Amino acid sequence: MRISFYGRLVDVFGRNLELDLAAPCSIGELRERLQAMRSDQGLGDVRVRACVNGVLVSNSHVVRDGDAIEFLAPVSGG
Amino acid sequence: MAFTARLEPDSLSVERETAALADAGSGAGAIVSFVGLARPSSETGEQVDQLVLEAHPSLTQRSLNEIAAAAVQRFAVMAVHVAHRSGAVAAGEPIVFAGAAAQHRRQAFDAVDFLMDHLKTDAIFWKREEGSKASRWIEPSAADRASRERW
Repeated sequence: MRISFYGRLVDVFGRNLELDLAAPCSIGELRERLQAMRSDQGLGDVRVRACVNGVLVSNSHVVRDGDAIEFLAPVSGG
Repeated sequence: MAFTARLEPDSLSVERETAALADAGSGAGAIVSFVGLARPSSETGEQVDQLVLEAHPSLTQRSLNEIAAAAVQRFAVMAVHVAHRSGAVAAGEPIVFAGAAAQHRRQAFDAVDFLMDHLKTDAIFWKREEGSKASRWIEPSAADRASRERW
């Protein structure tokens, strides 16, 4: 699946990341897995929001292969 | 009452936006507009060559719509007009145009003040100041958050 990042998360993970997901997992589990890959705690910030298929979701939301997943760093405003 | 809330990826013409607002607010007794510019230096005094505004493909437009709609609902205005840059904005160039037309000046002033206080904290953008030495992500300041809480 493709995961996209916004704001300062791009500095850590790049704009997009391809990840093979063997089985469905929650957004919370996905955050932990990504953090372990980069040894970075940025995704643990409660202000980092997750968006799946265009809708903001909580950590308990379960994602499956084929979902469009985005992690949004805290916004700067306009 | 309708509003305009537009994301502008290329360039923002203050004259064009002002004319569009005047058209939308035809018959108004007051038109107020605000133009925000990219500052040439950071809060710590370093030179900034450009400000890069990263937008989300759907959420950014939605946030602009929500802020403009809230201003329409709250104030007795005839027109609300927001145009916001995304992408790289050179220092000194306009980032945002926010305007309102109303029968009387107070409603137009207040609507634009409200628009800017909400755009500064709630609009979905990620901003990065870029200079010759470094680049830096920026977040709303405590003053920005306090301004938003006034409403």
